[in-house]
Amino acid sequence: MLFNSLNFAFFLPIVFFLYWFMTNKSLKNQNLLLLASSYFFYSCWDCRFLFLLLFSTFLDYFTGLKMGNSLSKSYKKKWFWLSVIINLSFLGIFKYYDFFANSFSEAVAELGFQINLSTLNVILPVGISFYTFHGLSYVIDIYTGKIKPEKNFVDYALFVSFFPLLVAGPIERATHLLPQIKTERIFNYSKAVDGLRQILWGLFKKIVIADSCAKFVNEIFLHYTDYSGSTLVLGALFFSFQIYCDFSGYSDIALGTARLFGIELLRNFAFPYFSRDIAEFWRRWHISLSTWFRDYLYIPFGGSKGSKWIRIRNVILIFLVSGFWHGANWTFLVWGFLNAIFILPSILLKTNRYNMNIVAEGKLLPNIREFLSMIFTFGLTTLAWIFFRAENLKQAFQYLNKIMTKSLFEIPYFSGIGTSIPLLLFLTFFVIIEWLGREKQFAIQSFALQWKRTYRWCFYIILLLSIYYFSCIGSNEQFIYFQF
Amino acid sequence: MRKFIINILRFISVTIIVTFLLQSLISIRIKNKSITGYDNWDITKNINADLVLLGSSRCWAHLDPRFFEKNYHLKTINIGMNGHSELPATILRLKNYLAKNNAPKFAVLSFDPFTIPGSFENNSNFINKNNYARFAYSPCEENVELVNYFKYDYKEKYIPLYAIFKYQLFKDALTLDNENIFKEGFELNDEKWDTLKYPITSSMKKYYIKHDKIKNLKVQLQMLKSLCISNKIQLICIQTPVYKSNYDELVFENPGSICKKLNIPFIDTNSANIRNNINNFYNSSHLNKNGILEMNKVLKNKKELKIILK
Repeated sequence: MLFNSLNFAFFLPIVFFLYWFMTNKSLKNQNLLLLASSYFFYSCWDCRFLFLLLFSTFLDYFTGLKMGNSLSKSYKKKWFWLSVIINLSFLGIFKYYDFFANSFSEAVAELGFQINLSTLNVILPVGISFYTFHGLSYVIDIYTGKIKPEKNFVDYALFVSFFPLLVAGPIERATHLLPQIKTERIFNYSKAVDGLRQILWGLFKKIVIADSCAKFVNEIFLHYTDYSGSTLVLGALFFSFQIYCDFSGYSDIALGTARLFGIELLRNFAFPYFSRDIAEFWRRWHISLSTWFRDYLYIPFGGSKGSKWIRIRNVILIFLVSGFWHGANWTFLVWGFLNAIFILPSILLKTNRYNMNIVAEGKLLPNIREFLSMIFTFGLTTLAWIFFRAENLKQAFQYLNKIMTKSLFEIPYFSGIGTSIPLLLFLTFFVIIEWLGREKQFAIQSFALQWKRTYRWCFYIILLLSIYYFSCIGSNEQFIYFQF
Repeated sequence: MRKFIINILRFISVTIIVTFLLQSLISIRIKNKSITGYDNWDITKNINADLVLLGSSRCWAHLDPRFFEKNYHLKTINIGMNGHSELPATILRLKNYLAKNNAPKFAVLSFDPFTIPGSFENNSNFINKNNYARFAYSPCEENVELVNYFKYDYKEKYIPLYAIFKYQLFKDALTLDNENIFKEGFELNDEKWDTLKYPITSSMKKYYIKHDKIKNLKVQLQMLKSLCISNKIQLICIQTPVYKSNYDELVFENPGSICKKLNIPFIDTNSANIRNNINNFYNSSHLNKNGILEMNKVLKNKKELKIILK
């Protein structure tokens, strides 16, 4: 079930109604209802993989208990590794086996040998990267003594499978979500309205901006050999907006939905395209994954402590793993590597924590330096996105080569350019609203709140009608991060 | 919670009202106006013509109302439906016209080997469905049959703005940029045939009516005739030229013999002089302005037509 589908528009109010009115506000009943709804939500996609989710949940729950009960460290370690290995094996089989098998066969073929490793060609279970990381963080936290194992299976299962975050995050931590699941939740009017506002903005980002950009991005990336360098730049820029609006739109809907049930999820995006350097960008982009890697990979490996070479190794390692997490393709690895190269100078020069606050805080406009820094950072991320979007490395390099020709200075043209004018208008509107709301959790959190209700509602209705319009004409693209 | 529910209900109500209001405003704005040029179901209201021209794009492109007005002093309207050679579309379009006008004295059907039978219930030809989508939402009684023929779904029929948005008619409805396209109901094409872009082929031959469909065609032509008789309209069939590469003497005799059997006057303008000259066409089955002038000369000399229309 997609967040931008009519099914979800019926599903959400029904669960909301049952949750607040039919459970007698009993925490146990509410959690049971949320868990059942989450499994229903997941099985709407493909019920066969529900068993995989259940297995993964039960494995981490059980190993968590075993680790909690173990008296010796070696016994604890044994259960810990059992869980880690099984979890990563599932991820490896479903997500990476074909990639390794193909890459190995190709490498051997280069040496003049023929080897035929059969590939599995299995469908990637939706959300596997996300719920595996939920489970892993839980097991690691128990192993390192940060948390005690959860004894209530329903509560633990809900932590892993809560439907707003089940298929594309944010990647939650047991330390953050489990206490909320175990605490009585009281309906809060302002939070619920805030949640609805965030859902509205998420839908706008996904349906109006991301899906509209997707149409042009698909055209330009598919026929990149036919277009001028300037058009390819435009395609890359459209993709930057597409991926941001697609994924942060999803996160907004997830956070807003959770808020309707009195649960606060981890923030996943904090206006990353207003970053002044790459380090700031990575503090603002897919925050739940970045912090996951920071806490469970980067810091255990020594983080920014140690010699220069250790720091370089750690940065490259974390970005390569991050790239590989996104998918089994060399393009993602190069994307990760490029980002590592972009961020390394600031790590080595220890300037990576210069820009901790949002740009131009308390001001209407940035100064020239801030503005140029933002443009430069956006340019670097857009360059890296070309690898992220390309089907393979050959396409990515050819795409870049084509940009670096004199056709870069031609007026951009592509099939259907005339229909991109409304999108450009909406993009301008979107950037302005995001800029104005950059100090909040999401762009329209407090936008128009000081207006009279009539005007405020007019603003929301315009957003709704735009969503309605674009969902009628649009391709209703799946969320990009579903494939991860 | 109570406040939340009340406000949600209020907001939803206001949104629904706004949506209905917007749909109504758009409906008022485009009422009796064309927004794509093809959606002429309403602008042919209260015309009360003496002569109605029926058929597909070949009627639309070839039969010039001004020719009939000038030569026979009959108020004429062309209601051909581009892309619809099947007779049910023609019959439904005529019914739609009759519901909004006094019955004409004459109806001229562009009838040739491309004219085919079709299904009233299970139409599968949706050419120009997007152009007619403005009629889908809450259709007036006269348009219901045509709307059903194009199989608009329940969302397009009952949800305000849905059809207008889905078929991307919103901008056209606001600006009315295309209001005056085909205002005369006739596409006078001034172009020469670009044979590099559209090479000369005999590919149109594959659209000739298949032998096994002729029986059905006769049934549906008889239906059209009956409709005309019940409205005291004299039905006339005219065959117009195609380029020689698409011509087959035997096949082009069929329409005449069908009309003869059904006792419908038949005029053939498909003369060798016209069909052998590439300068008369803008593609292999459509005449350009030059060709139409040539065809009109032939038509003008047809005594049979003169007798009927006088």
